[in-house]
Amino acid sequence: MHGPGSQGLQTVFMAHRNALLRFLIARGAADAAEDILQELWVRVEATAVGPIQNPAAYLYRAAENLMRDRHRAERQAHLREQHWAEVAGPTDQGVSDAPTSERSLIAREELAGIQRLLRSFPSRTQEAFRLHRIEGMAQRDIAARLGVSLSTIEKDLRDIYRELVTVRAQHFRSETGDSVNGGKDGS
Amino acid sequence: MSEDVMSDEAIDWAVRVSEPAFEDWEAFTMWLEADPAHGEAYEAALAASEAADPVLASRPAVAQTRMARTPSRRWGWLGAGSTALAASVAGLIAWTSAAPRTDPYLIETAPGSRQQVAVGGVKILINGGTRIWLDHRNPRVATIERGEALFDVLHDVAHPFTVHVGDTELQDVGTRFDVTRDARQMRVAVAEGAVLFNPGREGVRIDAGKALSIDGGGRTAELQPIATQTVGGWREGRFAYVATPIATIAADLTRSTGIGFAVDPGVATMPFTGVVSYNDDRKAFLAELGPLLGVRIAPREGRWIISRTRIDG
Repeated sequence: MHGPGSQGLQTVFMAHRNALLRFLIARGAADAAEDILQELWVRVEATAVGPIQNPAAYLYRAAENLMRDRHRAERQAHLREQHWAEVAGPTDQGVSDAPTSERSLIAREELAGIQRLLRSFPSRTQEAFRLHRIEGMAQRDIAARLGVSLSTIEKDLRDIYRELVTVRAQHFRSETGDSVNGGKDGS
Repeated sequence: MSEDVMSDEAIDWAVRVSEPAFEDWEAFTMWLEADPAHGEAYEAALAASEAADPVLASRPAVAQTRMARTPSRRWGWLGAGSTALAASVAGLIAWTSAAPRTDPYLIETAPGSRQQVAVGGVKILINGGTRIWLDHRNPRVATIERGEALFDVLHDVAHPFTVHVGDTELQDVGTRFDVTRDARQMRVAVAEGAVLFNPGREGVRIDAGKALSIDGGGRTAELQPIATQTVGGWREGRFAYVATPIATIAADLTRSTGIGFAVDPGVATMPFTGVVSYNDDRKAFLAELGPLLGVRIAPREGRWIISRTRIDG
């Protein structure tokens, strides 16, 4: 069950244990941080891995993914309490259809709004965002693929993120009457 | 600091941290620690960008999920939902080959229609209203995004056939089984042999004559005895139910007949026990279905609405 690299990884893990704990707490783990760290180690140990180029970064990345999953699960639970998932709606062209994920819980109107928003951007910007989100491509590589400068891609992505954040904040304000993000009510 | 500036900073971090080669974790930690609102703004940026995924992906996360789940490695732990990140972390591992290991393709059926495919020793009968992904490079895997399919699997110990449904994995043990997935739940009904549910995790074994239902949140799961001859009964227009909620029945019927049912929340959870039969006579079917289920069925804007019966004075 122990992979060839796990001895070395264990050493790295112990060396970075406090830093990882600090990171988890900073990411919102609170009292669960120790448990999450434990869960992280169990999973890392159980996975047979080959040589890792940067073991510390690998562990941080795993910690980040775990925290993203936890936050996403909290959001899904929250949404489930608020929305009624549709039973047998027609399949919408161009919209992926995974029912039990957060996707089904985001009302169809909201998805349509996001679709319109994305289409309001130039196709290069849309493609940059797709490569970034769906294919996890580095900005440098996206720039090379699309034949533009790195700073262009950096701006493109931030422009889209900004619009999506605004739309999401507006949606929550109109739905619940207050901001879910804990910030002051804007405008 | 104004909310906008903080949001921009958070967006900057969200983009940078998502980069495959990101290594500035110490700086990221310090930024998060500087103000609790930073972490909230960061998560808000992530959630906002993730909300766009269903619209972006013409080929949904399946392609990356396959890359993350190569047969002898289990990447699922990296974060089941972090599919793009899982693929990019794989790039950090020296031995990962650059060649694509998957070549997924989609089969989509309209409600009321069917399709049959045979790949790699598996016969798949696909019901209507279904989106199912197969893979040219790996005939022993299928992913049900939504809908229903009946699987007839020739067992191969060295290459078990696996069906992915969202984050769960079903592995055949020489079987004939039906899988349904809709917005509310997932069901697996086994006619012959057995199916392993999430072999790497819970490892629940579903034997012939049993059906497992799991609600969308994965919070409640039910293992029920069933008559094996009812598995895949939709092929003959036969639907057998034991205390099954109307919403589930409506989804089954729409998928199989193409009749667009919609369910009023007031009757969605009402249980029905009995058999529903459909023999292509739509008119008679719609006239008889209401009394059979104990509900009211009325047309509205191209759909058939199922609601509580009126109590006429």
